[in-house]
Amino acid sequence: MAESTLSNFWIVLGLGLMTSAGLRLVLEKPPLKRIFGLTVLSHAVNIFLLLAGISSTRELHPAVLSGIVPFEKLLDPLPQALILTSIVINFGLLAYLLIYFLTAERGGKT
Amino acid sequence: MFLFFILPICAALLLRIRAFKRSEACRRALVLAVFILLSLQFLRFVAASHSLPYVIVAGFWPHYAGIVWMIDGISLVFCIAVLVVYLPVAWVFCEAKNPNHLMFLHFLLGFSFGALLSGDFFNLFVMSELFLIASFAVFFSAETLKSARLYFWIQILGSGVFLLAIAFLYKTHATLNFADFSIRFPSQSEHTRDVLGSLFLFVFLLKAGSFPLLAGIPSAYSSLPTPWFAFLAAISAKLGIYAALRFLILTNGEFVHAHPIIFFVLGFLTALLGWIGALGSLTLRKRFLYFAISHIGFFLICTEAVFLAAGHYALAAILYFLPFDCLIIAGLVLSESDQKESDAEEDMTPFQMRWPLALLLLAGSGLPPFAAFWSELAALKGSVTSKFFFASLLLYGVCNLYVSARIWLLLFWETRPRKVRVEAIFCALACLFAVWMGIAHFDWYEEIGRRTKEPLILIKRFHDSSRQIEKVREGGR
Repeated sequence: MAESTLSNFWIVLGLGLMTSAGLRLVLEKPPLKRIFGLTVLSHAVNIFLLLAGISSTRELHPAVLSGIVPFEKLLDPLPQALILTSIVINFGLLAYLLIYFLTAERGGKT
Repeated sequence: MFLFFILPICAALLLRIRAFKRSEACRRALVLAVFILLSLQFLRFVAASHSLPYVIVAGFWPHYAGIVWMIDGISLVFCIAVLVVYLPVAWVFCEAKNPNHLMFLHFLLGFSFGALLSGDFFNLFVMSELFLIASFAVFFSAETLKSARLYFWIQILGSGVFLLAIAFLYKTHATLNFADFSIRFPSQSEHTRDVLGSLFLFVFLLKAGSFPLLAGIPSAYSSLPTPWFAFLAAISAKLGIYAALRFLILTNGEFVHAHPIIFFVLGFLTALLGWIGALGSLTLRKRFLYFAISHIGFFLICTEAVFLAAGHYALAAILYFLPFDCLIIAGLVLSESDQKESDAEEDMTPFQMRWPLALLLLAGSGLPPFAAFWSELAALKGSVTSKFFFASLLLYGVCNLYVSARIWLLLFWETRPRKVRVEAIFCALACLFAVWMGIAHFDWYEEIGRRTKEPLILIKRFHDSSRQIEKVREGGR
């Protein structure tokens, strides 16, 4: 239990660091830094989603790859599905922002 | 119900085929086919409105484990609002040489239906994000990019907060489904409910274009080509209003009861900003956009009135006026295009050229027997017991009438000749339909409002659908 709490602590610490770094970068003026900050922030939110799925400190197994495991010992798969979807959406948004940034750099020639 | 999402996406993909790319007639046929098919489906739901809501669980999973689609009175009316704006805008795009405009319009149509028919928060997030990304794509020219910078950053901030709200919701409620969320919400602590309400409503009000989060909208939308301007000005904010209304209904207006003044103040400030903008803007496009923003203020005031004073009357007011408001805004904006063609119309009298505009402005002004009047009357009728709401709605009505009259005077007496597009005439004539609906069928909206204000029916349908699936599964074993 102590080990699990410790690992949760590292995740929360990472989440805090990523959020603060992301916010710092978003407030910068150069657009590329802002875009990078948004990416970091979105990953921080994804980690928060991952934390939302950890409901207890017992040993949990992935839902698909662990063979025959009782239902109550399976890891909640929903946050992982949510994270996957949000990564795809964030990727689309990031691609758009980068193209937007490049277009602005080139003086609006699309 | 799945058709609403799939059909527009298929139509968008069809537009990549050479025949549709090159032939205007093929494009018009496709647009008509999509419109007729979707209209028939919606008419079926309108005819069966007494048995709404319907729930469809995708993938044969129970509602809490799979993707759920649902249609009730609110989503039905909002979907109809999107559809009625789709036809005139798509008709204009059929003339465009570049078929990509029409393709993106179909994507936006599919994603907006997806957001309106989604039965859980994550699909709502996914669909609104896809709608947002597809709508960003229409800003792709140097001029529009420059003017939409603030709009982009505000919307992206909203997306981040939306995802954060969903993570917090899952952490605290262990569900993202509307029905289960509605059951578990009252048992949460006051702080949790407040944080959740603040996060979600911040995002939804941002999408609705509420004060002060509408900062980037006027410059961004008004720089777009006219049909895009018409579609986004009419529809984009309505998705935010739908989401806010849905959230508040699922929580029985808990947030509004706890903080009774917030929606009212935001609504009134939005309307005020809209009126000031409509009177003070230099271009007609911005005037129309600010006029639309002032109507958003009315919807926000009514949203609060649904839970504090007017009950289902206020909901009926929103449901009745919303599709016609979309038509009014789209019609006004579409009428502003093609100024070059207007040179040939100099022999026409001002009235011949401007009667559709006059009709659209009358419909939005609140004068009897036009659309806004019935909506304001229903909201006033419901809030007779609350002096505060009654006085505010009355004040709103008077100010709205004044602003409409000022825009009307500017339009009618300006010296420049103007040709009104056939699509704007369609919108104006459709607004006449509102007169008939207001006189003869307003009780239908009241009934829909009464049924959808109560989340218990929705919850029951969700659980019934899961029970049926479990029975079939057990039978299969």
